[in-house]
Formats: sequence, C-alpha cells, structure tokens
Amino acid sequence: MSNSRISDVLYDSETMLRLVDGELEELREDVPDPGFRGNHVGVVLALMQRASAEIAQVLCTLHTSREALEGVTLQEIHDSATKLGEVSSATEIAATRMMDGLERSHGLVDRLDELGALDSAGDGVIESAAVRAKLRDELFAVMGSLQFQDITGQQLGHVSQMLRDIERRLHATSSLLSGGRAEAEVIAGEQLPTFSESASTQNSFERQASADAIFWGCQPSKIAQ
Amino acid sequence: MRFLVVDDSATMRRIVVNSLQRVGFSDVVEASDGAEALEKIASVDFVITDWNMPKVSGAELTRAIRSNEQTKLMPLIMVTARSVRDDILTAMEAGVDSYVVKPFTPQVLREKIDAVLATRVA
Repeated sequence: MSNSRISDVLYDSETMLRLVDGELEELREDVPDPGFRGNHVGVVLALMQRASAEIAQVLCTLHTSREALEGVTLQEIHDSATKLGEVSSATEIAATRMMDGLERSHGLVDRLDELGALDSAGDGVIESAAVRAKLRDELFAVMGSLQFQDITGQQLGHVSQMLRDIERRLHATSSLLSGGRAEAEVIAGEQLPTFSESASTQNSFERQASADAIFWGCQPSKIAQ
Repeated sequence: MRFLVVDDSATMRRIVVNSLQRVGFSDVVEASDGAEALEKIASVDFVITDWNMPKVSGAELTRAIRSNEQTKLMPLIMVTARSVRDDILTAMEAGVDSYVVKPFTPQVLREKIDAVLATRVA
C-alpha cells in the first residue's frame, strides 16, 4: 500500500470516527428518559465511545509511527544506497588501477631482463636505470591506490551508523504499536565506528584544491608567508 | 627530522610512512591513536595525524599538543578524508599547520611539509 493510500485511509477513518462520535453525542442527548429506557443504552453508548477513543488512539499511534519512519529514515536508506554504490565504484576503480600498475610493472621487469642481456655489450645501462625508476613509480602508485581501503571503510562506517539509526527507529515504532515505550534503544558498550561523512575517493585533486582555498583563505597571514 | 605518523588504520600508516620515505624523510615513528601519540610526542619533530580515530581524535590531539607549553610549536599536518568547509575550519581552530585530503600523493604531502617548515624558519 502506498503512502498516499495509507494517508487517505487514515484520513477517511478519522473523519468517520468524528461523525460517529457526533452521532453518539446526539443520541445521548435525544434519549428522553435514561431511567425509563434503561441504563442499557447509556452503558452501550459509553462502551461505544470508549471503543471510539481507543480506535482514535490507535490511529494517532499509526500517525506517529509513520512520521517516525518517514522523512529521515527514507533519506537514510537513500544515502546508504548511494554510499554503498560509491564503495562498490571505488573498489572497482582501485582494483583496476592496481591491476594496470602491476601489468605495467611486469612489462618493465621484462624490459629490465632484456636490458640486462644488453648490459654485457654496454648498451643497456642508462635505459635500465630509467626503467627501474619507472618501476618504482608504478609500484608506489599501486601502494597509493590502497588508500581506497581507508576511505571505503569510513563510507561503510557511515552506512553502518545509518542502518543502526533505522534499526532504532523501527524498534521505536514496534514499541509504539505494541504499547511499549517509544524510545531509541541504546546498546551498552556499543563500539561506534569513526568515520567522515564526506570521505570519498572521487575528485581528490579538486577536493585538495578546495581545502587549500578554505585553509589559506582563512589565514591571510599564512598566505603572505 | 623525526616524524610521528598517527592513524588508526595500519594500512594508512604504512602508506604515509612510505610516502614520507619516498620524498626523503626516513626517520618515522608511528602511533595508532591520539593517546599513543601523546606518549611519543616528546621524541619527534613533526606530527602527521589522521582525524577520525578512537579514544583521542586528531582534532583533540592537535588541541592537546597546542595547549602544552613543551609542544605548542610542534609542526603538525592533518591528513584526513574530511573535506567539507566546517571540518577544515574546525581543524584550523584546533591549530593544525596544514591540511591534506585523502587520498593524497607523496608530492602533495611533501609540498605541505615544506610549506610548514618554511613558516617555522620564517
């Protein structure tokens, strides 16, 4: 059932209850002699009114539950999906970069073997130094790509926190519906993840430039230095 | 010059240490959180710290360093995945000398180190 459909049903139910309530009040006033008509009518009316009040309370609880789930929770689910998508993408990009770097490194090692054979004739010495330098660059670039692990770890920590929050909201809603207390459950000793909501492997150069602009823009004395 | 690298991620510590070595700084000690860093601070000349760490965060570590008469002038760079304006301003208020956003390259780290050391000389 869609949210709008549920909303319509709740609205209709409330309207109907108000009508019933009004009718009951009128009926109570129309009874000319409760003593003559017997206390039965009064008792029945009281029971119906109590039932009406209970139903209204249930509807109120449903409203509260819906409000507790909507909005923030839906946004958190959306954000979680986005973060997980970023993690998946970052993992794929890092793996591709590392694989490319390792393949190039293999090629460089092969070239070093060839140059080693030439060294005996004295032709490969200069180039082999250049190839070794290039190989170091490639291997270090592979190491640098491993930074994705720290960043995706933080993104997953963010998702984990949002899922915990959703869990607490669902728990609170369940408590409301079962007549319990609608308070968020806090797990004693729970180890909360440390993370940055803005952690990302994307656009690293632009984000560094932006950070520099903010950092130095707010410290005019340091710019002069 | 001895560097102290503070990060709760062992992988990141190794990457920072290797980056430092690659740009010419081979004397490096490590700490896995701010509390351990404060124990080692007396023996180092330059601090490079992460932000998000258990127990004592990088921002708290920076404040602690700046509030101690013995270490208040310690060169310090924050290397972090946080990159929004409010975070950078918080780091500045805490007292960092420079700010590096993860993922970073050794060249960027070297530029920031040189810039911080230049301000100390000046």
